[in-house]
Amino acid sequence: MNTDPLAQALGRAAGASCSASLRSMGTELLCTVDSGSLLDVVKALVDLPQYHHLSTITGVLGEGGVRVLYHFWLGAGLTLEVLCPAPSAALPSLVPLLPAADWYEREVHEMFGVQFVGHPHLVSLFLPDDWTEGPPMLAREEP
Amino acid sequence: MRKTTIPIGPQHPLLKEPLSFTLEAVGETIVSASLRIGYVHRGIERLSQERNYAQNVHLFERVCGICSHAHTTCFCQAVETLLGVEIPARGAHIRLIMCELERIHSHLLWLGVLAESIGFTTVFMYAWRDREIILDVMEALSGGRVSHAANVIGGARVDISAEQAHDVEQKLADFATRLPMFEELLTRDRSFRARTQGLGVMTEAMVHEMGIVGPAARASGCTLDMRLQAPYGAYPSYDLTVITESAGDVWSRSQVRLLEMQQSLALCRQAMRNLPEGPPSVRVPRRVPAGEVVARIEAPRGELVYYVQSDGSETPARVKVRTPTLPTLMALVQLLPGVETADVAAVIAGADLCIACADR
Amino acid sequence: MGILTALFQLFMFPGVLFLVVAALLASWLDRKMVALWQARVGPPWYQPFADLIKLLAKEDVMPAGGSTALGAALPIFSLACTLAASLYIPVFGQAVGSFPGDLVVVLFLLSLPSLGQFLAGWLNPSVYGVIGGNRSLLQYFAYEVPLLMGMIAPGVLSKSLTIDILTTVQHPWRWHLFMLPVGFAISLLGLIGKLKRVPFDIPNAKSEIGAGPLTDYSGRKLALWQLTVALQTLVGLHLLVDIYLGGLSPARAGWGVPVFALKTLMLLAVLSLVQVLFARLRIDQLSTIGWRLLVPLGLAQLLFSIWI
Repeated sequence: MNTDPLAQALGRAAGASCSASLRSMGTELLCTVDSGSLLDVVKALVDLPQYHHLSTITGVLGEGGVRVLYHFWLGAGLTLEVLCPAPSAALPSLVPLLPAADWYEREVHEMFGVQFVGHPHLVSLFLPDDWTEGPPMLAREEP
Repeated sequence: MRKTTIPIGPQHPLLKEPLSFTLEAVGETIVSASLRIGYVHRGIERLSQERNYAQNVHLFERVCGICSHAHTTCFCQAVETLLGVEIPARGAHIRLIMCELERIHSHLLWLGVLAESIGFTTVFMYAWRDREIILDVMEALSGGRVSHAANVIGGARVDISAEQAHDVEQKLADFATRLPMFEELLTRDRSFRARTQGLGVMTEAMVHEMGIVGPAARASGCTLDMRLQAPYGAYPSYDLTVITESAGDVWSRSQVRLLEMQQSLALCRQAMRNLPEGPPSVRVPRRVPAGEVVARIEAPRGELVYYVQSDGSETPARVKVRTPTLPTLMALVQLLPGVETADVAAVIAGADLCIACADR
Repeated sequence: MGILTALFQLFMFPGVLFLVVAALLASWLDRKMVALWQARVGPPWYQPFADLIKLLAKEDVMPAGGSTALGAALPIFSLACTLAASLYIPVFGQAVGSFPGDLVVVLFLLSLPSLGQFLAGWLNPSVYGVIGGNRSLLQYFAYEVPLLMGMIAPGVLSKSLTIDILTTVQHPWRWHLFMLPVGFAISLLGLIGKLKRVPFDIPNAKSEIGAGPLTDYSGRKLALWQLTVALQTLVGLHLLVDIYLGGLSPARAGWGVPVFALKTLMLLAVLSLVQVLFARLRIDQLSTIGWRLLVPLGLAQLLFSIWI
């Protein structure tokens, strides 16, 4: 599968800074986006003519905060990486653009404490109602 | 008019796994629906960070009791990409055979659950009776009916002897004689059609918006099938067509699944005959090079996504699982308002939910 | 008629004891036939008896908020109505009692358990009970009117509303089935609606509303409800055999018992077969079938039997 057209389209739509950071991740592509331009990039992706969908959103504990990964499928896999400096820092919510982001953002919120600004209903998805111990994926004591 | 609150779940005759719908009805029509999941959240993603890769294969097999093989296939594929290992052709074929068998048994299971939800117990009994043949085949191949443990990182744990292949071929030929009955039933039976046509319609726009995948998406005209879009394993060596319908209702989903069962069966038998020589697996190192990767496969319910991040040690730094049920559940909450109370069961059962998958 | 004979007829044969045993055996046969057609093994013959005894012995739980007095009275009332109706229906040619116009009384008595289920549903604190009760009532109107038309048509044709007379006029081959086949079909469908069997098992649709009106019943009261349904099935079949299939005819003396039993079993097999062949309908689909199809057909059949 040729992913070059995708890179070009991304470059056209989201600007050179985005396509410059485009690199391969296994068989798919990864591209770093800063939280300010995330909405613009996603808007550009949503407007692409080919079929697209948001597969999921992953939170990953990284150095200096939480990396939030948006996995898209556009005939080829593309992951947008956004760095969220502090665990409780805020990111713009994708729900107004892409309703599919709803539960994925809720999951990242409850597991990593990331705030998604503009999410209509940012409450726990999997954890019990009486859970008080904070985001479980942040606790990382060595076994 | 006064609203009646109808709880469905966490325990309800309709649901095979715990989840909880709270429906509000005016008269016989649902006006609002809300959903609570997480009853079977086991923290598998977190647990996987404490286990080594070989153990994790068995851990992820236990995410789901129906598509267990799909989960291990996807995880193994992700780790193999990180390792840069190419699995032997024989192993890839055995994986494909198990995947397609699993698709058939999952679709039959769905048909049974749907039939029971519309009070058609005979179809439920027949579908599950014939599903036994497939389960028997899977047991003969791997030793397990539900958890097969057929995958290891680097290929397939099990090998298929010539004698086994002969037995399996006979059982599959027997199964092939059962499918025409379901075809007749799903396409012709009037009481089945009366209860499923025009029901629970997911439009193509909705599929798009909510990221719905698998047979549910294909029943709405979307051509998303990971076996074709991102061919993996042994799939590139076989001819597959994407099966779509346009109406997006429960009936179309049954048509898609029926045709997929036929295609999967043909694929299985073809792969059994073309089994390449060689070892089923290769040895791989315990430590996985640092890196991150996304793997996608077509599980029976649609696109299954695994994200695996390695820090170079024996245990993964992060594994994320996205099961195809999650977007379907999201859409279901929007689908239920406007439905008659009598159809709620069929809409929920027709969505082919796997709660253990969704909750992890 | 001596008092002993009367008591025997009332309580032994063809009264309560015989009917209960026969009804439970019939429900076993029904379950067994359905099981065999569904490629299952099915229960042993004593299963309905065991179920009944087990339920009778079990703890009777009534949830808070349930009306205990009326809730307890309803199953007894429904069972009593069914048994009372059975007194006037000849079994093997013998009825406990008979009077002019008893067909109407029997139909009325047989319709009461459905109303009982509606009330039981409403008394239930569970929302499934309320919905089930509502559906019972909706279904009641959809099947009861065609059933009544189907059952009255032979009476109009043979100018009597006494079951005994209606049965004997058919001897040996003047069966109402041959003259009023549509009426028979309507009656059979109506009976399936009354018994809440597939495809009309709408008020107790398990996957939708649990056990419907009976959701919160347990122990003895549930046992009585189940016994009522079993008896209703048998009594309904007997009534159909008597009115449409000529009762004992064309048998000569001595052969009446097997002939009657065979007819009842064949009708039971039809019910089981319908159970196997169909999916459950929705309540609106049932109402459509009831009012758009069965009622006009029933009316046509009635007019036909008036003019003939």
